[in-house]
Amino acid sequence: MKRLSALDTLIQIPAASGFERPIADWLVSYLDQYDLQIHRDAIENVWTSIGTGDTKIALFAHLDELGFVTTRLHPNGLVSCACLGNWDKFAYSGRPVILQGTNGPLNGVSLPMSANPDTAMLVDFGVSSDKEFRANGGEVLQPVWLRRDSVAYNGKRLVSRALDNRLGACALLEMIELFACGNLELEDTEVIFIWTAQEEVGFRGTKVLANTMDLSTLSVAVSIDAYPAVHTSGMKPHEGEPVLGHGPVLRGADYEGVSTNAVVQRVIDIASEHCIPLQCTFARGNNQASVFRGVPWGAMDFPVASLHSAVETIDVRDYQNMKKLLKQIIEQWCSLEKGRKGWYT
Amino acid sequence: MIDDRLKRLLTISGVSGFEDAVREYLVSELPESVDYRIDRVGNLIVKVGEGSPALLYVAHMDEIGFLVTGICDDGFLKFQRIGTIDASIVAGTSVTVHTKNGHVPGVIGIRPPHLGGGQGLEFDSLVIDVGVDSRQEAVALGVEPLQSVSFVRTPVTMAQNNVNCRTLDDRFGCYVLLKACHYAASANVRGSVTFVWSVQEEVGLRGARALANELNFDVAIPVDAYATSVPSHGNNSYTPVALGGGPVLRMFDHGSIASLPLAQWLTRIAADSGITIQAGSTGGETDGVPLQESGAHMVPLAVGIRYLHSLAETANLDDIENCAKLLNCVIDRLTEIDALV
Repeated sequence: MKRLSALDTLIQIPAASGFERPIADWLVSYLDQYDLQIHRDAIENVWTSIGTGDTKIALFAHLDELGFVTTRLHPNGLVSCACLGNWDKFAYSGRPVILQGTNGPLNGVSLPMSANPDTAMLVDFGVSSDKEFRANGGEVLQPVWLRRDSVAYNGKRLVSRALDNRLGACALLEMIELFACGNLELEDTEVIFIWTAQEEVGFRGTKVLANTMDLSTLSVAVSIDAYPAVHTSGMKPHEGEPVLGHGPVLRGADYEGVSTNAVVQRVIDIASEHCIPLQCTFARGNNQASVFRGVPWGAMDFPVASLHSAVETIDVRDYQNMKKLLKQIIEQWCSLEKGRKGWYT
Repeated sequence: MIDDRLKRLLTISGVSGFEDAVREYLVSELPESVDYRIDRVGNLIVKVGEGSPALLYVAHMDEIGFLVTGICDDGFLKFQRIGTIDASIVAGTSVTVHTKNGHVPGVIGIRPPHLGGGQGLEFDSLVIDVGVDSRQEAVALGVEPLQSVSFVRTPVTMAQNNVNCRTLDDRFGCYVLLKACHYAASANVRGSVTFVWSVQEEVGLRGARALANELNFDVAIPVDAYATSVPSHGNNSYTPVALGGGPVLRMFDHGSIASLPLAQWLTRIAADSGITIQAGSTGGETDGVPLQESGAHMVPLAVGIRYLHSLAETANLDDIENCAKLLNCVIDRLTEIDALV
């Protein structure tokens, strides 16, 4: 099976919320191959744009992933960690982990629930004291993540940690690649690609941008992210409508509010016109685009099974269809806006 | 550094009842000078030397895992546990289904925290996703009911020469026996040493029970895991042992009380050889139970493993190597067993 371009690299770079610098470095370096003006701010948001025109489309994808941070060293060598993001204890207990220490990566294991009934995560790095932990390059406030190699199988599935939201980050990169190769046509349109930091801990990167960018000229803001799919053990059909392999998910509404109806309708029309499968749902959770208050917004997601675990699973066809849909949205948005006086006319 | 043979043994799949690949690898690594046989249940048996005293070393080849019990219409696989597996560690793991067409990767999914997480998940509601959408596609991959499923595992080294891998129980024992077998094959064995790599330990010591019905030994030393915790952590009454503190004489567990004279003899040998050892009481049982019941002096020789039967299993490489050394030293002093029996 053909692997997903830059996604492999993106997945391999750990980037727990607040620790995005290495992946932001890689992204800036990767974007250097194109003739683009690249921006980066203090919180490690990275953005760039292609094209020019009155239609301005902002596309978001977050760079950070769920992770942990060391918070307390115990005399017996165990290390307490705090969750960065919305973790379920079943997903990380009793799993191999990696810490980014001052001397390089350090392997460890999180204690299983049978050995750690408390809610806080405890990690055993194989040392017998806090002194030994420090001697091996460990310290408090270092990032920790689950160890998991990505696996592609059966021509359809890709399993890895951090698919939420390296998929989105990679999809944005692929739009730039299409443009660079002349396969993405822009008419009076500027597309702003924004890779944000600290999404998993409260859209903190996006909030910075909402205060520093000029939002008044934006035509639309669209978030590209992950959505829990129903193809997951123990889930009942009523617990989620999207399923793997049935196309990208369009959020009609989520906890952040109701998507701009006109945006939703246009995406549905575009998908229908180009025979791109699309799943529409009311989403649990919220999205980055809505942080840009006053800007018409929409949110499109990859259905991901076992979301927020080390075995996040996607159907590769959904990724391909998301790319097709994004391309059409970018190319057609300008013409769809023409002749309209506002979003509600 | 993890020895290549240990790494290989940790990586090969061999769920209870499906130990063939482990056995094949062990056979391929046996010393050329020894003969081996495989009994009717699948135990691999090598005997070096003849007569008495008769010493047995046994380690089990099998590992905990799963069994495919059915294929749903939408292509998901229903499964059951093989061996003692806490349901809390199952969801959100990668597995391999061992089909007639080869190894098929899969995932046991987990409900995301957005929808309540794993809390309240019942084992029977879990399924394996092998990336297909229908029963027909699953069958086309070669998947059938009653095939074994193993956890995906990768051995990695940690600080202080520790190692993490799901299958340390009891592939480290298989490795240690292999080393001792090579040693015995080149040593002057006065008596006999029988090496047995057993099957189906995790589902009721079934290989060892078959062995105990067929053969008799003066001394039996099962080499297996010692479930331990981090010292000063946890509140159970078992004896914690230190990783890196040396091999462990597993004196009390749920299945047996070890032979005190044999333990004292092993302690003397260790001291004479400069090998630090530990002793303690833990849970579970070993292949030594049926052998003790058939009349052998028996002490399980173990290596402390934290987080036993989870993906977090952690042991110390020095302990493993010292365990192998101690087995060699016992072979050198085989005739002293006469004083015990």
